[in-house]
Amino acid sequence: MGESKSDILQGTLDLMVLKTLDAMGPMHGYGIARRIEQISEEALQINQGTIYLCLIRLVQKGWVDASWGTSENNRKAKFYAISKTGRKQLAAETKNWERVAGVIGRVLDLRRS
Amino acid sequence: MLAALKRAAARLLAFTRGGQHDRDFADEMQSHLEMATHENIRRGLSPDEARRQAVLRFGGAASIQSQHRQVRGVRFLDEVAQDLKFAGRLMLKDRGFSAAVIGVLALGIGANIMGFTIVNAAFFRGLPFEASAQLHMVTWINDNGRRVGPLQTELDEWRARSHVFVDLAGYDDGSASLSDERALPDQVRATRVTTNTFALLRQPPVLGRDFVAADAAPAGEPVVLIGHHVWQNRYGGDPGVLGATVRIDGQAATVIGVMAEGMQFPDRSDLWLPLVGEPGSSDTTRLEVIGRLRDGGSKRSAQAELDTIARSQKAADPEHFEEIKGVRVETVSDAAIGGIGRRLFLIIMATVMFVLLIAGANVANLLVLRSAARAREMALRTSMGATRWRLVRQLLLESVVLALAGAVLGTGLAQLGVQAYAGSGQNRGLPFWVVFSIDYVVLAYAVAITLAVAIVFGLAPAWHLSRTNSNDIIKDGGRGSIGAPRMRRFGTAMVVLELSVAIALLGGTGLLVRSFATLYAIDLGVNIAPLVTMRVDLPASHYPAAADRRAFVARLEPRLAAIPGVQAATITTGVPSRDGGERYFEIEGMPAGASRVMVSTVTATPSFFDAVDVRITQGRGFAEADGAPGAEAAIVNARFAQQFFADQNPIGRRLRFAPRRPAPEATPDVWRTIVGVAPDISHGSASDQYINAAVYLPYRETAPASASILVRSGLAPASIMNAVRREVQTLDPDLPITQLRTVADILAGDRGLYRTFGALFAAFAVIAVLLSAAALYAVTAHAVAQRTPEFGVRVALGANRHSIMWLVLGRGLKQLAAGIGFGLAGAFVLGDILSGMLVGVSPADPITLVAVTLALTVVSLAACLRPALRAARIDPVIALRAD
Repeated sequence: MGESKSDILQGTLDLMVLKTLDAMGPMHGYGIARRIEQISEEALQINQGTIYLCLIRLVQKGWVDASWGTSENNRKAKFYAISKTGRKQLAAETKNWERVAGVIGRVLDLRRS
Repeated sequence: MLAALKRAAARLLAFTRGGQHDRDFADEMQSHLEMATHENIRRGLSPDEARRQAVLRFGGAASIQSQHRQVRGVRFLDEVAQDLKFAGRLMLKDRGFSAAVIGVLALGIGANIMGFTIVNAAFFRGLPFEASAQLHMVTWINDNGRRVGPLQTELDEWRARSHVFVDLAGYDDGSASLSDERALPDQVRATRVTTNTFALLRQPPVLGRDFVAADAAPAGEPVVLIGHHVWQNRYGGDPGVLGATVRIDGQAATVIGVMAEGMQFPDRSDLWLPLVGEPGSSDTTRLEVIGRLRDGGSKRSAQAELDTIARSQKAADPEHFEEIKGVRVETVSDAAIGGIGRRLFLIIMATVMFVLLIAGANVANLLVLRSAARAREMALRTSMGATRWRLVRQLLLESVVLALAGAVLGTGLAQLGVQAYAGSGQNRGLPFWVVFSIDYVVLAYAVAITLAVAIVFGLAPAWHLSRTNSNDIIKDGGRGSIGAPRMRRFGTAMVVLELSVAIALLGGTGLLVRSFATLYAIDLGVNIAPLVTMRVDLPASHYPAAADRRAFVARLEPRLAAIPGVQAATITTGVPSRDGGERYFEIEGMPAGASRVMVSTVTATPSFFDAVDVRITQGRGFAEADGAPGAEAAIVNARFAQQFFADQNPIGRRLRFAPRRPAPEATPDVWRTIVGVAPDISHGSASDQYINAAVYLPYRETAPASASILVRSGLAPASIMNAVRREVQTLDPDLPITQLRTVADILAGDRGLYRTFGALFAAFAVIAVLLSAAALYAVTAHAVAQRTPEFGVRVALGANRHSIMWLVLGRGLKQLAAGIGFGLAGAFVLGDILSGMLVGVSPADPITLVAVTLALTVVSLAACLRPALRAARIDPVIALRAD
């Protein structure tokens, strides 16, 4: 399962998507993309299309389930929801991320002093 | 683990259902863009701008789409599918190119399949019986290398003493008349077999019972096993035939069983009789012997064992085995298609391999030429991140697709060829189990060579590609001039290779064709056209003594001669191109050493020389009294007279037949006076290029039970044959009518193998030459296209158009010269290999080699001429503007 760990950006996006779905409940792709953009206060400018690459990967890993439904505007849209294993993975990834962030933070602190 | 499996399954599923997933994702993208547009409009953008912004924010849709597919699908399969699609599209786009490659491969692979089909049928498939690889033939070999079958007693000793063979069976192939109350008498092929034969072959009857040992007892009730088609055709498949009484050559016999369909052992047999042993009697029937090796037994161990047995047999009775040199164990196919036939088949195989090599080189050449045109495409793909492996894989895939298309077409061609070959009766003279058909073994072979060709020769452009720098190519602007010299060198090398192989093949073919022509031109010494013959076997049951047979012949001959239109009739053991056996002899008053060779002997009635329409050159022909006790006479042929008497007069000299080391107590043969010298008439095998020494003996003396009617007439063979049949049946209604046919027919059968192979070789050689010429044309034409600007400059600078033309032709001629050089060397080697089957032509026959060289030169010049003329007509203005 080392495929995503090597690529930090990809892994980061996976984590953000999982967290968004965990916090907001089932959402469609556009909603997820907008949500991440808003949270990052438009600092993170990604091609919205890449969200779907991330989503299909998560679906394949079984962390996210997908099904067609109807959006708030009565549009046909595919909705994604975090699965049980997805939540477990999110917990693990979050811990991992915090650990890495802590290490990086300490390293950066070290350099500043 | 389970999740990983599930994912793999989902990916595989996604791959096979790619279209559906694509649509699903397109819908999702659509919905995304609509939502984004909607939101942008709400933020106050114009609908067009809102849409534009939405698309912009989404990113490159096509790229996302393809990445999506990549994540989703099985990448390798997906790419292969993509490559396949691409290869297919390319094939359709470059129709001319694809047609050329497929056509070339179809010829090469088709020729190969056909060659292998023939070899497979003759050598690999074997008898259609269980574990037939264990079956081997065993025979004595005489001093002249001819096969001599063992007697029943000798076979019995082999059976008793051999451990390597589970069992050995003997048989004697012949013919018989089959008659009963149900239908008209039939002339059938009847084989007398030892009673263990079918158990050994593992071919039990489908109906009734097999022979048992008691069936072979002389006093036993006569029984017969009938073949499936006889059962079907004569008895309508009636099971009631079991127990029925039929007459075989007039003798009553009970039908005890029906053999399986397709069971015609040893050679198109219709029925089988037990070989009845006559203890105490001197049964001189020589048998064919087949044995089954024990599991794990090898031909070599069997040979060693029988060598030992044979040595002790010889030691026990040296006189009896006087002319026997040894024993030989061989496979069934070797025994049936031994010697020249076997070598011919192997040479066919080698030939088609060479044709395939030419075709492959041709295709490699075409692929490399095209890869030059595609160099820019490849370079672009490399610079955009395609891995080299991906490109090579794509090139390979393309050549595999082309090769498969070629193979399919080639298999079709081969099927037609095989049908034509089998339909033209080319298996005539071959055993019943040699059936030319494309089976799974052949198809597997076809797939193997197709893939081999696709990979080996498809790698050529890949190799070429790997040697070029993509940056150079892009800078070059796609003119394809980068790497051109190397490519041209490759093309030249391929052309030289092809021309060499073609000339070697053509040389070999020329030698064979000339040999066959020589065979046909051999003077048989007689005009065979008006000759009709029929085998007469006088059964010992009706004609026990020589006097009985003499009496029958004395009545038959005048009746035959009296048939309207018949000019002469004789009874003989030496129908032209056959003889009545070889014997050792000695000449009175000559040192024994000189004559201790074997000569052909022919027994004939006095009218023989009249029947074959030749005149005795010296002395006289046979008289009726010749051959009576005290009047033993002989006539020798011209070669005999020349070989043993040189300038002496042979008339009045005496000769007698004698074993090489006569036993002291044996009564010597009588002296026979030479009364005449006959011109040479062929009594040897069809492949003998000269006529052997022969001695003619009067029929009256021994009256052999086995002989042939020979009739000369000016009428159509069919009507004569009917009349002959009628006359024979009037005298003895039970006498089998066998091998009633024209002498020309016998000869054609003997030479069929040569004719067939001559035609096959010629066809393969023509294919080889055409393919090489096509390659030469392609390379020359391509070179001209490449050098068009250069020629333009030359013309503009005042070069003579002739000199331009010669520039192009000269290049072609250089390749031709190299090809001829290597090719002639190859032709010498091939000639050497073929030397064993060449007749009347030397392996390095200058006429053949010169003719072959000239032929290839003409074809090659023709191939170069068109591009050369095009080069000469180049308009410098157009040529220089082309850039």
